[in-house]
Amino acid sequence: MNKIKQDILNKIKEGEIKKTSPWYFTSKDYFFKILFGVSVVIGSFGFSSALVQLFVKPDDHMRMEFSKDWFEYFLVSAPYLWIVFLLIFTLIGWFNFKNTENGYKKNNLLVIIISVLISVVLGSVLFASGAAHKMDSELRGMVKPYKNFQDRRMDHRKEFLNKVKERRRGGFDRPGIINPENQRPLPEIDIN
Amino acid sequence: MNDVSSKTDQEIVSLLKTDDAYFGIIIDRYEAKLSRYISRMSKPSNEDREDILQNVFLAVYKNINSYNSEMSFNSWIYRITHNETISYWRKGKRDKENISMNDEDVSGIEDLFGENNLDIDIEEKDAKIIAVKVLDEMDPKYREVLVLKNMEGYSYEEISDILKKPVSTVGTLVSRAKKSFENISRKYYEQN
Repeated sequence: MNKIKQDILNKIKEGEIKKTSPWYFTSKDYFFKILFGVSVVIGSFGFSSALVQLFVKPDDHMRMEFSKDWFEYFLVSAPYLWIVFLLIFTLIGWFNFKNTENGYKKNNLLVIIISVLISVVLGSVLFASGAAHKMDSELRGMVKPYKNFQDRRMDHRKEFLNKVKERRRGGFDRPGIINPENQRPLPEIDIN
Repeated sequence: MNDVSSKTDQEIVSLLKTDDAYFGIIIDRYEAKLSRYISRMSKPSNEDREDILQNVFLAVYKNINSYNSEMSFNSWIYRITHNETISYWRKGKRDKENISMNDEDVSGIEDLFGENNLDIDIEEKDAKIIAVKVLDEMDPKYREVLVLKNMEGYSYEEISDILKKPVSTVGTLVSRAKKSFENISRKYYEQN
């Protein structure tokens, strides 16, 4: 018997090294799988709350102001906190999935896309059922920092909206005289 | 313990889970192969190679209950060897100056000189000398896939199991590794 083999077998015989229990590996695998599931579900809460912020919470006059420019409306009222929340939990989900027994076999991008898609679908269901709206209100009542953050965000939105209104009153976006023939504004005449 | 030579690795592992006496057979079957693989991956001194090998077998024994028979035992034990070798690199014990591989250690890699994209006319003896230098200069992530593919003769699926990377990623790595081998080889060829 060679030296390496002898040393290894001696260490095992003397009890220096012991086999790890199969339960440890099984529970470790389940742990990562469950964490992946939890991350996706939390991500879906994030997405459903984002939908609430976008479509339920905004003031009507704000929606009217930006009715023709959805991109600008999105930039002003996007629920950045929840979008970041969704991204963070997607990454946590991806990390946990990769640590499951066969997780390494799947393509990284595919895992992230599927994780986001599940969150989006589940989040939309929560939003459509009204659970997301209820959850958002509960959260405002229970978590003060969250309420403060959302209030601050609303203040920023109002401030931004006032600036837009002022800008429009200044004449940049003031509607001109409508040409009754084609319903389009007539060009402004430079009187200088 | 009668007639173990006809038993597959999987059968030996099943027996090992309840009877430690079978561990010696695993050592006998894999010691030479793994020792050669460690040399190809990291060019350690004899003493360091024995240390890595001992750590590998102790890790195999300790984690034997995590082995899943859906995967080949060969890939699983190579994965452990790969990880132990990488951790040896990280500890900074790799000594580039004093070590050299023997001819058998690089057998298989010299075939790369004859591949379509690297049509270099080179003597077999020189090819082995250059191959050792090229391997040593390569990025470790490329060297490891080239060693597994061209020298150990593993398929993409097996390399995927050993490195815990998706098969598509392995394909990309092998292709880039061959390109890297080609570029470094040309440099040596032009110098001589």
